Amino acid sequence: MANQQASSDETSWIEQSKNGDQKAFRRLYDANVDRLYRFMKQFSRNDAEVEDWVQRAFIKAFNGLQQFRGNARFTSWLFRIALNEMQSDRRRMNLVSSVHSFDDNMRDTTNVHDEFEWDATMKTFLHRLDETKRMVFVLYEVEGYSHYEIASLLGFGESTSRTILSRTKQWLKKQWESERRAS
Amino acid sequence: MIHPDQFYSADDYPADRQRASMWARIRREMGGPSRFLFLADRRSFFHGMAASFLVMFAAVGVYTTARGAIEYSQPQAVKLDRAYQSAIREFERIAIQTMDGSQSELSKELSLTRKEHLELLDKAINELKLETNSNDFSSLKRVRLRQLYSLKLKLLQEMVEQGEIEL
Repeated sequence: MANQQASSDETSWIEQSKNGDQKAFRRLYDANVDRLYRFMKQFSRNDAEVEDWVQRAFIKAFNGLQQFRGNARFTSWLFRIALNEMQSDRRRMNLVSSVHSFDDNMRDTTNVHDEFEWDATMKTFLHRLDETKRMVFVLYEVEGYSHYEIASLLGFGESTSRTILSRTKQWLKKQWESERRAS
Repeated sequence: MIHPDQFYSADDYPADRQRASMWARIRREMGGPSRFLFLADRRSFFHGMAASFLVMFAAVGVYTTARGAIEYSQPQAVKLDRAYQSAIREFERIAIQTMDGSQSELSKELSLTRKEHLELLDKAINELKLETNSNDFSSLKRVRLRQLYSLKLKLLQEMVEQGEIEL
């Protein structure tokens, strides 16, 4: 019920913002800024850099609102813009990790969904992974995106998204177990 | 699925100061009203108030002088003309022309147009005055001259309201 209300509010703010209503866009900002910031924070420890991506995402979203048709969630659209901004920065610095290292046709032979249990110490390991793996993991496991949404957000197939997630979980679990054994 | 509270730490969220500064930049890029514009609007409001008072005093001056002119049995039209001149002179004496760099292109253009109008009005008034023989001019020219004086006062009021001249 609350979700429906929030969604209806968001739709109305989007429509008002399309007509240049800055107060409505401020509401959209307030409703989404924390979510976007915390997600983008997973890709940089530098606050200024994260702020820059977030700001650019909102500015681009405002300027491109007329193109937003509402087929996807506004948050997804915002995340995509922010990730594009981050990746274009990374490309500039030649730091981007290529998603093509994953074969789109790879089959997800491992199912660790039931075996995987999150532990806060895993976050340290997660930050050692490349950005694509981190994106998929956080988007799916924390932000609740489906593989279909992640695939369209990051520009690869659904099966790739599944494979990345599966491998990331396996790796995290392995790291956590060896750490635990060592201590 | 991992609950966001279990995954994200307090460090992952922006502080209030960060939220505000990010929004400030976004609003700037959106071309929204800035603090400066708000101040400019407020300044225009005070200018408008001041201009209204000034025009009211000028009108009172015109009326008083005109009444005095009747009382002294001088030609009413001439006295009225002098009253207008006196009011405008007084207005111009206490008003200082300003045009700062902070005005928008549109405001600057409007301001220049008003300045041009003012110059044209002054020119027309002077020409009309030259054409006439001091106290003796036709009623049509007299009406025209009064219209020009009235227009000039209105224009000056507008310029004060827009902050183009300061009191």
